[in-house]
Amino acid sequence: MKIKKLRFKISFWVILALFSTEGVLAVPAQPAGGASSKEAQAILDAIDAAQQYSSISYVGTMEITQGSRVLKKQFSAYARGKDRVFLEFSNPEDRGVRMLRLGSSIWMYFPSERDTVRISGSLMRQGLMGSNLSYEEVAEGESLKESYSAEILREETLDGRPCKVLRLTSPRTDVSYPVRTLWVDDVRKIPLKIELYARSGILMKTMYIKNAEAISGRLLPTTIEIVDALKKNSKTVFSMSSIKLDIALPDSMFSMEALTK
Amino acid sequence: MPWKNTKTTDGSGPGAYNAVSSRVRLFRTRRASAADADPRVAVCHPYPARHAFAQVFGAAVLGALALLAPPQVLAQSASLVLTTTTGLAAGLSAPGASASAGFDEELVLNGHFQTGALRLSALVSTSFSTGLASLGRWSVFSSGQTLRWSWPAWTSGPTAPDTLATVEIQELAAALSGTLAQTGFRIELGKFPLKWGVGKAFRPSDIFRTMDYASLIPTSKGLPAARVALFPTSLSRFEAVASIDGDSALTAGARYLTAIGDTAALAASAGWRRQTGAADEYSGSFEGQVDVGAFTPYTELSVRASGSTTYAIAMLGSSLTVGDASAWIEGESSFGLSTMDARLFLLGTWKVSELTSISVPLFWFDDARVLSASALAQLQGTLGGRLDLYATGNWLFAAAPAGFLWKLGASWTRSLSTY
Repeated sequence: MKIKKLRFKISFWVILALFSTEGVLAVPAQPAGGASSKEAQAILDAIDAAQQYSSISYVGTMEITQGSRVLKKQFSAYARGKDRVFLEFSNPEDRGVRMLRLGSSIWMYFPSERDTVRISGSLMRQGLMGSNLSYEEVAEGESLKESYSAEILREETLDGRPCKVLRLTSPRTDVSYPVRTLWVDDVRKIPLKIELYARSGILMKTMYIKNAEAISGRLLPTTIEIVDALKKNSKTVFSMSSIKLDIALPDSMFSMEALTK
Repeated sequence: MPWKNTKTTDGSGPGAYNAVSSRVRLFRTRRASAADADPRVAVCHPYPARHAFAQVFGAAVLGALALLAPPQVLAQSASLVLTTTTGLAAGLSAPGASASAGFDEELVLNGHFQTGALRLSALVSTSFSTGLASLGRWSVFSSGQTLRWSWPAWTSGPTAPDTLATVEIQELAAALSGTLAQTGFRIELGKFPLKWGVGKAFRPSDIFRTMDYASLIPTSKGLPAARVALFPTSLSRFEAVASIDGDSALTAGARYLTAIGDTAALAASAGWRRQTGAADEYSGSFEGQVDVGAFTPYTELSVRASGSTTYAIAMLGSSLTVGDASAWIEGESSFGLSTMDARLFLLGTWKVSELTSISVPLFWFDDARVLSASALAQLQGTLGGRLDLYATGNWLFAAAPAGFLWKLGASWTRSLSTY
């Protein structure tokens, strides 16, 4: 099957915490209007255009730090379309623990008890395997532009690179973060920094893109630092390696059978 | 002294409580006569004679594995993880007794080998305790242990030796997967964990009696069993299981589990159990879980018939998460027996940070009139492992005067991978 014929497209932001938005989308959110908003929307379009793919596999690591304590987790990840994700952890403490996401439904498998557990709605805001990344964020499956309207706030230089600072807002109640602020590299069209806000306006998390690599003609962020604004001295560094794009991933990979294999 | 795999699943959240170290034990009182009458709870018996079958079974599985996995077969994936846990504890294990303290060390070797459709798995544990055995003697198992040896011979009960060494094959299994008529299937044979039910502490659907109350939170222990599983859809599973436990009880059953949309899961099961000296038991069970806003209520109902007695066991629970705090409440009661066996479980967890969580479980056993409350702090990433600090108190209201038992302890767990 030719990859180009695959129907679903997902963006990098679907795979990471930026796993963008979630839920059932009826109508894409529209920008508020004005030249600034149109340009902001064009930037989001450019980000998506550069980073869309039908499927991905990679080896991910999460280094969770709190003060002087550090915990490392490693996993293999597979994703297809915007609603199928499969993770298998391989660090010694969690070896064999797996996660399956189909749509917004998440199931975990714990080999020590041969147990499949559905992550209930009430627990979706908890951190995935103790990280700064919540199950809810993992369950999100839409691109940014599908749920947010954007406007340009200002221009800034971040880490020596000229950036446009975008403010993304969503009227929807089912998104994890109704307000996001993005620092987007003017040249490479990738976010270098993202601030995630609650509806109350409180800063919840800040993400820093520490590294980006060109893979199959696309520039993908491969190292992201996630800082929890509500917890002191706490951060998760998320890294991707062995990235493969637009590969064939069968339906059977995203099933309870694979989860319990 | 009984113990289990201490594999960490999470630093907090839904998996956090599964990560509770096996070193953290309740002073669960051995259940009184009413509790012993509960058909789900078999009295622990002297160990060796009852395990002849299990040991033969284990040897047979070992032989089968050797045939199925000749050394020349190259593994598609394989891993070996060594987990060590070092614990210190002090406490009062019986009313009127003196407080004591102890130390224990355990090693768990967990191997996994997969090639093509074949998967082999093994989990072997060894432990040495001194002083702690008596502190853990209140542990209650819902059925006898299999493939477990201790020196001196002991399972649980009031005559615990002060120094104890154990070896247990917690898991030794082979599984073969394939596709038949476009439906995935898996055949599994050996000793492996069996878990039926959605309850965190009480599972009426668990006809295999695999609940192990030796840890702060009950877990499901392994049993010698054969299982055939079919996967009709991406999120459904049908399985038929036959097992034999350490009390030589033969249990067989079938269960169908399926997701209903993104917000619910249902399961139905039926089973049969035969144990020497008791009438055959037949059961039918239902499990359900649904998201309702911030709450996720879940329930189990099991109707059982044994001889001329028909009774039911119902469990109702719910979880709730607000910010970094989660809570579970779970109640279980029997109906149709001469005594109503009611139990309550409460659990609160607070994720202080990504690497630190605090959990507070509470049990109330109405029949035995025992209240058990604990507090557990888990600090991940401590010296490359996880540090657990805990305190447990048991109030024995059935005793006159009421007794109070306590335990304080700490344990450090670390996992290493060879490949």
